[in-house]
Order: sequence, then structure tokens, then C-alpha cells
Amino acid sequence: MSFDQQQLNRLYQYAMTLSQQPADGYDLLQASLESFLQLDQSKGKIEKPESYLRKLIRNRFIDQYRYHQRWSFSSLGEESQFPAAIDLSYTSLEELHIQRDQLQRIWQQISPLDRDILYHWAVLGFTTQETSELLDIAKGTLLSRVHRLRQQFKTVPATLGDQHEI
Amino acid sequence: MKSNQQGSAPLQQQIEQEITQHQLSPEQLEQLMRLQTQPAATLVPTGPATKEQHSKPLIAIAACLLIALLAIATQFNLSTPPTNSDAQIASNAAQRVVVEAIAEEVVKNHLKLKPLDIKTQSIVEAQRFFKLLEFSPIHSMQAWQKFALNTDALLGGRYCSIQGVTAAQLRFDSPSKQLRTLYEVPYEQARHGPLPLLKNGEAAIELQHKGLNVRLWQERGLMMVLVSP
Repeated sequence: MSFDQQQLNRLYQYAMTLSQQPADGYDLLQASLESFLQLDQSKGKIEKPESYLRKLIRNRFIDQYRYHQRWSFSSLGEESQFPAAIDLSYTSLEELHIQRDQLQRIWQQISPLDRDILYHWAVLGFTTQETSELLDIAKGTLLSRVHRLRQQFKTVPATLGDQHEI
Repeated sequence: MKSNQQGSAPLQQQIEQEITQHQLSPEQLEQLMRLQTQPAATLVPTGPATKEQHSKPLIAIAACLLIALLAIATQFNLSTPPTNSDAQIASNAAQRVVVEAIAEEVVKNHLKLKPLDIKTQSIVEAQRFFKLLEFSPIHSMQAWQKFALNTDALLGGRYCSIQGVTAAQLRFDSPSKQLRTLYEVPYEQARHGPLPLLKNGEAAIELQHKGLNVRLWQERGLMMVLVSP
């Protein structure tokens, strides 16, 4: 099994989403790729190699960059803050419009976990259910994060004009 | 429904563009493609350090202490010094441990092929770049004369460390497109043991590690370690 250039670029983009630094992103990808290549594949074929390598990148990022303190969070109480009747799915993000410079400003400020969530939504097209399962985050916690992200995107000041939503 | 201003786009689209703008350089792609063609046995484990990996620096430190003790014992002529041959055997064994630890470290670095901090063919530019070093990297005359290292084929350099001391690694191309890496770090006899001076006709210490050739010597106050395929 080997990854082609298109897959490597996609994986690099994921590593960059987490690390935000080109050198760190590349190191993260290379080290994770090395780990993948050393796996004893005789124990069973990996069904989704790209997805598996993305997971290795994520785990390595949490381990190596010692983000686990900031990464881990309690979901207790968060679910109860948002009753099921309130729509906190990705739909609330889909309605938002934003300018590029607004996004770039906020992108640097939000946490790696939030960027990870947004990556799974915007690039991979996952649902909140799929994202919560893949990232091992309680659904309520994920939804509350989505809610806070929406608030952040709505309040980020624009330089060329106000942001608008449909 | 409010109307959108010019430059405004759906959040999802903006995020996708923000993420997908990042692309690997052709050099990085080549390195990763090359990495995938390497036999798994030559890859350096990158997972959590094993107990064995943790213990290697300790062994190296113990070996350094042994070398230092032997040097002190010899200098002060202690009442019950070991015989010359015993001391020599112990010293050789201790140095072998140090040399093997260094070889393992540099080969690991060499195989990783991490991006260069500076890309240049000029050693002068590289010297200007390495401001955080406590020494100035040199063009090794010995590597050129004895091991045919083409100093004109310098690709650039990167900070690294050898046994905990900040070092410079200089990467060189070759006509066969096989990369060679020269590591330079201040030479300390107590830390590195006695290393040969090639200009005096001594032979470099040479060993094989993970299928690569590693040579060590001292030159102009620096320890030089050359890794070649």
C-alpha cells in the first residue's frame, strides 16, 4: 500500500489544519507515515488507509505537541445546556457567510480541536454524528462547540464590511 | 434574507479553500514518495520511546563518565590503577558505546530527511544562518579529500543535536543522487572519547548502521560525522 501525491497532499492539509505551521505539518505527516509503513500489515489489511493515517496524524499531534491538556475537556453539563429542540447541527454553520480575511483571522485563534471539527465538516463533509464518532467526542459536546464556533464567526469584525448570513 | 456583500462566501467554502491552499513542495513530495519505497526494516521507529530507547542515552552518559574517570585515573596515577591493557580495553568498550549511540542518532536524522532550515550551496551563507551554534560549521577538507564528499554539491543545512549538544547537519547531493549528510558539533574528548585526526594519517572510525555507512573523526576542533549510503 502506498499513498499517491494527491493523497499525501490531502493528509498534509489535515496535518496543517492541526499544527498551523508548515514545518510542523510536514514533520507530523512524515512521522505518521513512517509509523504507518512500519505497521505489521500481516495482522490484517487496513480497510481505509487514508483515514487510518489521518488518525495517526491526530494521535501524534495530541501526543507530540502536548495539546492533550487543552484538547481534553469535560462534556459534563454541556449537553444539558442545549436542549434537543434547538438546532445545533452543522446546518447552523451552513447558513453563515464570511469574508476570507475574517476567516483567516479567526482560524489562527480557534483551538486545534475546533479546526479539526471544521475540517471534518467542510472538507470531508461528515455529519455531526459521524464527526462525534470519529473524533470520539460526545455528541452534546460537539454540538456545543459548533454553537460557540457559530457565535465566534458571527461576531468576528469585518474589515471590508459586515458579515452577512442568509 | 440578507444580501451578501462582495467578497463574502459560504463559511464551508471559505474553510475548504483555507485548508486546501496548503500543498507539499515537489521536494517534499519526492521525499515522501521515496520514503514509501524504503524497506520497512530501514525505517526508524517513531512511536513512543521504548524502554530500550530510553536507556540508550543513559548508557552513553555512563560511557562518558567511564571515559572521564579513566582519564582522571591515568592523570593522577592513583594508587591502584588498572593495568594499561585493562584500561585500554575498558576505554575502547566505553567509546564503542558512545560511537554506536552517535551513529544511531545521526542515521535516524539522516533517514528522516526533514526539511532544510536553509537551502544554499554556499557554506558562507550556511555559516551566516547558523547563528545559534557555539561554533562555525566548516567545509570539511578531510571529507572532500578522503571520502570524496563534493562540497560544491551542498544542498543546505538544518539544526539538530548529537547527544544533547546542538549541532549542524549539512546535506549534500551526489552524482548518483544519493544524499549524504555531514554532522558537525564541537569536539569534546571527555564526551566523545579520542577521535582520529585524519590530517595525521589516522583512519576515521567507521561503522555500519541500518545499512548506512557512518564515519567519525575530529577536524579543526569539531567532531565530524559523515553518513553515506
